[in-house]
Amino acid sequence: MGAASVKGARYEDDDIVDAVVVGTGAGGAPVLAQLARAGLKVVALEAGPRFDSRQFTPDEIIASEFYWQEERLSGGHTPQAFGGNNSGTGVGGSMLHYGAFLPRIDARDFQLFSETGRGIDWPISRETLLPYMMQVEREIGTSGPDSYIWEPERRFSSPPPPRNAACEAMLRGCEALGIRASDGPAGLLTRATAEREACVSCGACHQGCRNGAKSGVDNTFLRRAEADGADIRPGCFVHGIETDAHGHVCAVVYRHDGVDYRQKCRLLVLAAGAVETARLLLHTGLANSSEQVGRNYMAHPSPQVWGTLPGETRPNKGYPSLAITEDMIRPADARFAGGYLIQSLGMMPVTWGTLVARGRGLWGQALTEYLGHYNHVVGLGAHGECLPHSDNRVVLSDEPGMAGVPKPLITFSHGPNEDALCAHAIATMTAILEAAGATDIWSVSRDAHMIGTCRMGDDPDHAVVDPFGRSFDVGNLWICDHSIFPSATSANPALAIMALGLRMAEHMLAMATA
Amino acid sequence: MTCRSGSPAKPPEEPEVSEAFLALLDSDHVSARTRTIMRQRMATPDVVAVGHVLSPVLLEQLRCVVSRVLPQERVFGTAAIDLAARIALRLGSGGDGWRFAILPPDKRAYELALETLDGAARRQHGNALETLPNDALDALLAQIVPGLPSDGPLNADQMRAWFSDLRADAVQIFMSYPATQAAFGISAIATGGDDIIQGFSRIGTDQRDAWEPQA
Ligand SMILES: Cc1cc2nc3c(=O)[nH]c(=O)nc-3n(C[C@H](O)[C@H](O)[C@H](O)COP(=O)(O)OP(=O)(O)OC[C@H]3O[C@@H](n4cnc5c(N)ncnc54)[C@H](O)[C@@H]3O)c2cc1C
Ligand code: SF4
Repeated sequence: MGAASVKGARYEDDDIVDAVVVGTGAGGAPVLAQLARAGLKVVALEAGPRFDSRQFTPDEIIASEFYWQEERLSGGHTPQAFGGNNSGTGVGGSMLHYGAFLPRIDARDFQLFSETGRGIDWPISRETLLPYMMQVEREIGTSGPDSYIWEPERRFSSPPPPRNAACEAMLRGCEALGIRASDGPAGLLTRATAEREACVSCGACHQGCRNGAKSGVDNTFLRRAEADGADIRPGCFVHGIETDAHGHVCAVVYRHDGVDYRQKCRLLVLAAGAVETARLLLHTGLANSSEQVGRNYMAHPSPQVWGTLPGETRPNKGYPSLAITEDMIRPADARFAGGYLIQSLGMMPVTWGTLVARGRGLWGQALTEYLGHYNHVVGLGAHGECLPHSDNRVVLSDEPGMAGVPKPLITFSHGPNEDALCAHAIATMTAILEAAGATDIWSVSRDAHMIGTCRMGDDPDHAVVDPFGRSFDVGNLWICDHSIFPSATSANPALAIMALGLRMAEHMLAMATA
Repeated sequence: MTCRSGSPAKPPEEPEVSEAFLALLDSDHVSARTRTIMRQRMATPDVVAVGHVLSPVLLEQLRCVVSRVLPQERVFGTAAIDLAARIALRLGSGGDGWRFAILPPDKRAYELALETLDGAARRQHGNALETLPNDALDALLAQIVPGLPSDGPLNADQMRAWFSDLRADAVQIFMSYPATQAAFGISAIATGGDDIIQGFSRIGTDQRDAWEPQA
């Protein structure tokens, strides 16, 4: 059957397009936009649907429509929750429901091994990535303070949104303890533009922004890509990659509405996220002479601390994660490599209740009673460094999944460094909440984001892709998503992933014209 | 009191949603889609569909366990949301994107966990799970986190993982139910209407927009 029967298709499957991009999230979208702008014929295949953002709902049960719903098996000593916590699907990827917290990676986190002898250095420095991060910020729009404490030269396109109770509590607590804290860098607009409304503090960033204020890729890079002719096909799950006699990718096979299609291409960009990119490569057996595909899976240790205030906090209101401190990126008394960021937390009721149920371990009358305190709770969350470990990995399970591709089994266990970092972060956040006047304080250790599995590096024996994201084994196969991060770093990842996408596209285009 | 004395075969009436919350639901602070979702959620679960997922005995056992894990009397008096039936419906409708690798698929895990608990109830108390007095049931559930001695199909680690899933499932259904949000005064669904997405105006500690619900 011809691809013309795939809704929205601009090219036939027999057309040899210049590039196919698999996945339209943080990694895929900027690459697609840059290649389309350069006039290439590009197709994006996206497993998830295309949503009408005005129709997003704050109802958390139904908002799970943009989580990756196919079952993942989660193992190890600290098995990670997926679904709502750690996945996304649809035109726009996980950024449809990301929290829009946009710190830049600290320069030291690029060189963790040089600094501490632990972990691994990135093959590129912050200086290399900075111009691309700035380009992303300009294109998608950000909000933040006039002078950002940790990088006063950083500029934001609009002022910060109003502070909610969690933000106020964090700033108050930090001030009492002498920790510097401020309104943070947020991927949202507080001033309307011709295409996008301003943030209205609805608090539902994780359920999808309905008015375009949040800076995703659906309302920025992807819009531009389509205006420039990119062919974005939702509902297309890629499950095969075909190579020619030289071992180069010549086509991808994808399933749409139960039917398999083949799209011929000159270049392939995998941007399906750290679990799915690894799964696809393991399933096809490609690009894995290093045997590193699936290895060094990481997640940010993301402990949270919650407390109760006498006044009403209404955690569903306001931009959820406004306050930040970067003072803990290298805590003076740390007994671990790396560090962490702290942010204030707003949270919708079902997400919060789930955290209470799983993390606080309450049940019985105590559980019901505590759930009733929702309108009085405040939370803080950290994201910290995670050292790569080759036993933490994604493999194929023996259970069949979509289109016959085995379901992935993700094994993840904290090592001593993650445990020590979490303990430090919990102690710090507990102190902040105490200083802010909270009572009934409790903490939960959890992990966020899916990182690693296709590490970038200089050495083909120990890395899957080179520092631009090109496979060492298959010359026209590129990877741009969270899988290529050599280490987790303490920053939330979306900004750096998008920046790597711009950089990769620039390099691909330079190679094409060379 | 035993679970059975609360006539588990026939679940209690579901709680009413307060007039004030219904008025908010119908106001222009809520989108049409969200209004429909919340309205549909108030409908009582389809018993036939529930029966396709869990046998009457398993459903009764699950009702007993859930009534101790997330008791509702202090919120709704004699009424209660039928959490067990809704968990069953969810089990019948595919998963939520992941599962603990040590557990079998969700529905099977529930069946085996209830079988394991029932075995422990008979061994420790000489009675079926659904006939245990509340305090005996509580004492049984209290063993799961430290490690339930089990000769049933699930071992202690698996029971611990399942118990985490059960708490999460029960709480998700409870917190997303309109009557709960009304009782707790939660304004989360009111992010804005269809024509104008208003969001919230009064943000910060002790700041409440006049139209927000109160506990
Ligand atoms: C709840 C939540 C909150 C977050 N908050 C923040 C935040 O505040 N700040 C921040 O910086 N980051 C945040 N993140 C993380 C950030 O969203 C992700 O790290 C980032 O989007 C990952 O980019 P990616 O390109 O690797 O994958 P994704 O953005 O997930 O994109 C991958 C896409 O590929 C598609 N896909 C997968 N497999 C296939 C296949 N076989 N065929 C076709 N398509 C496929 C998927 O459907 C998906 O759309 C958050 C994430 C979550 C889940
Ligand atoms: S809080 Fe602001 S950015 Fe977030 S979803 Fe609401 S309007 Fe969009």
